[in-house]
Amino acid sequence: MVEVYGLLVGAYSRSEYLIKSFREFFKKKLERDELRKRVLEEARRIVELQVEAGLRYVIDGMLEWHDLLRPIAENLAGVEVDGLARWFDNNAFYKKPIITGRIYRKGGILSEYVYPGLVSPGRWKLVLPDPYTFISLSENRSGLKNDDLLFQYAEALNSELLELQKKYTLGQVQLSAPSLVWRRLDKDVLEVVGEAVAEMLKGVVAEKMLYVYFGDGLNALPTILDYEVDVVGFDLTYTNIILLAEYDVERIALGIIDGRNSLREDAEVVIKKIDKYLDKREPETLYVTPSCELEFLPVDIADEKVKLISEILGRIGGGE
Amino acid sequence: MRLFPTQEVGSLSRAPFLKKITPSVIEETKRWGEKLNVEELDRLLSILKKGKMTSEDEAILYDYASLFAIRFFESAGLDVVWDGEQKRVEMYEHPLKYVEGVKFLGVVKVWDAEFYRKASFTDSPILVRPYHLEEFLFVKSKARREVKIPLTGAYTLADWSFDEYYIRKYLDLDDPVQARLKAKEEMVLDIARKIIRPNIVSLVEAGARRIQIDEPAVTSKPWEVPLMVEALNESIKGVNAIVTLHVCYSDYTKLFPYIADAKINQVSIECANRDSREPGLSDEARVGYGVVEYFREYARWLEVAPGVIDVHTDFVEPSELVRDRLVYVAKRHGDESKIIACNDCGLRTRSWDIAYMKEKNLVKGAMMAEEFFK
Repeated sequence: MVEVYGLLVGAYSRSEYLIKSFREFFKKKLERDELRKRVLEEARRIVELQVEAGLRYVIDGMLEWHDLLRPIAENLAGVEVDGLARWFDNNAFYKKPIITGRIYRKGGILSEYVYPGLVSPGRWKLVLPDPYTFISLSENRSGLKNDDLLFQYAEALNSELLELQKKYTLGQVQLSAPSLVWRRLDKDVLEVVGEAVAEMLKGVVAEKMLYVYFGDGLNALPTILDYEVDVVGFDLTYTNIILLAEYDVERIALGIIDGRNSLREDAEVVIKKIDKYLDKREPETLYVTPSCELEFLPVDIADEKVKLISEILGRIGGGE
Repeated sequence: MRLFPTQEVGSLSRAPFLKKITPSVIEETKRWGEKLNVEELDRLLSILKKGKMTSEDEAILYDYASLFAIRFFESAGLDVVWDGEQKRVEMYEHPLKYVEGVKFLGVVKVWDAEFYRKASFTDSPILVRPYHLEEFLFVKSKARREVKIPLTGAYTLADWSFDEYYIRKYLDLDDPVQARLKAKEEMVLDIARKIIRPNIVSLVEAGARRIQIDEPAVTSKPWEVPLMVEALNESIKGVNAIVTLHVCYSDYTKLFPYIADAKINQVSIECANRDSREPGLSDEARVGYGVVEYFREYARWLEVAPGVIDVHTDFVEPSELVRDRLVYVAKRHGDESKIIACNDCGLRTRSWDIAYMKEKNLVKGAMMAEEFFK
């Protein structure tokens, strides 16, 4: 019997009010404490929405993550933050990390960016960039080899994860890995990345998930199935579900709700597609997720997508 | 024929008086008005001085802003001018306000605290009325130089929007990439035919001879460059005008070879931003202009308008640097008659003082480059 649950896979959309609050803060017209208060109000709402929707693990919204790499780039030794670069094929940009020397953890990285206290113990989901995505989207001015940087990054983040684990009961740790599928990589590159992923997640007791998106999951299959993670997730706005079903994935996340388009999918059509997959495969666990972060949608539309996942879970007897 | 003609690219920051009116704003307006020889300046100053403004006064202010910007570029000596988009808010929301079948859904973050109001196509689009016509007619009535009107292209309008209409018929496909591509193709071409072309036709019928189509989104999905080119051709089908494609802050190599199929006259690209500030004609000094090789190889007949003025810095390019950039591009291209001198992009983020100095040096540098080839 397949257990079906729902999940989000990355940062939530900021409301117009919150975006403008950040703008006021940057212009020094809003105090840090007031900004934090507004962020926490929205984060609380986003957490409640996910709990009501019956999602298995819950993100805290990641509302202060200006991009997936920023909190890490700003707090790792050996890394600086530079100008804007395009975030894959989106009309959205991230600030490019510049690697200037050996990467290591000089202190807490995420403490200012996460709010695990908003989530019940054991249900908090933390999302981080996988080693290859972080390093490949950075500019390496360190003179060090990229392979060495992968492991330095993995080691630094592992230390951060173990520190967080001491304080909080994490439910799931997701490594977001768009760069693994954006272009097809050589098998030996993917294998080295697998070792770095293992290093990064060593000793983590929460469920470990790798999520590949903004590219065809087939680009990284079957190699990523050997990674030391519990769940592997795919962006079905890029990956053909029938071809994906050729591979046996014990615990799989199907990014079947389009996180970049406002059209609210018909639950029946989505369920039919999931059934197509289940006709061919019977995973132990199946997660229904958006294809990517919901931050590309206006917040009302993002809310609708969460409710849609809830509706789908309700119809097929899944969820918490 | 004149070598290295000069032209602007689009925006200019707001005229000095399009803000809260204070004595210093009035003084600044007077300074610019006199410097640019703006006609009927006293009338504007008396409106500014009277305090409370009617909506009619505000409309007059926008006309004056447009006039100031036209005179700004003319006074700097540019050959082809526009009004610095003084009456526009931005390049996405404004056009779509004039389209039925489109619904604005809310804001989305672009980076940090930058955002835009994103719309969804919920039906086949219908143009309510051409949205740049009045603006063009005003500029045309005032300009003493040739006019080029910029407008946002079909590809960018589609790429920056959601699709709740075209995708519907492809939702059953197992291959999501094919589904999205087919829907996108229909969407982009529909916008080109139903929105952009009618706008361009109305402008040309009203006397526009130069059209600039802005497509900043084009290289974000390099595999869709051929679609952008197809849309460009649909947008200008049967149009008798000089057409410029403007792309900036992108990997221009992705335009090739497809851009050779575009039935346009010019390509305007940002280059100064990626160039060094050192004078000279060496490849190292002119590191921002290597892309001209692609034009030489794939589309030699196209005019190239490489930005020789960086619009994101207050550094005022000396005229010698402008000259060297143009001479380098012309030599590398092999046909100096195909090179236009212009800015990287619109000057919206620069003060008028800085922008004016930059434009003066653009013109002077272009004349020096022309001298070089004589």
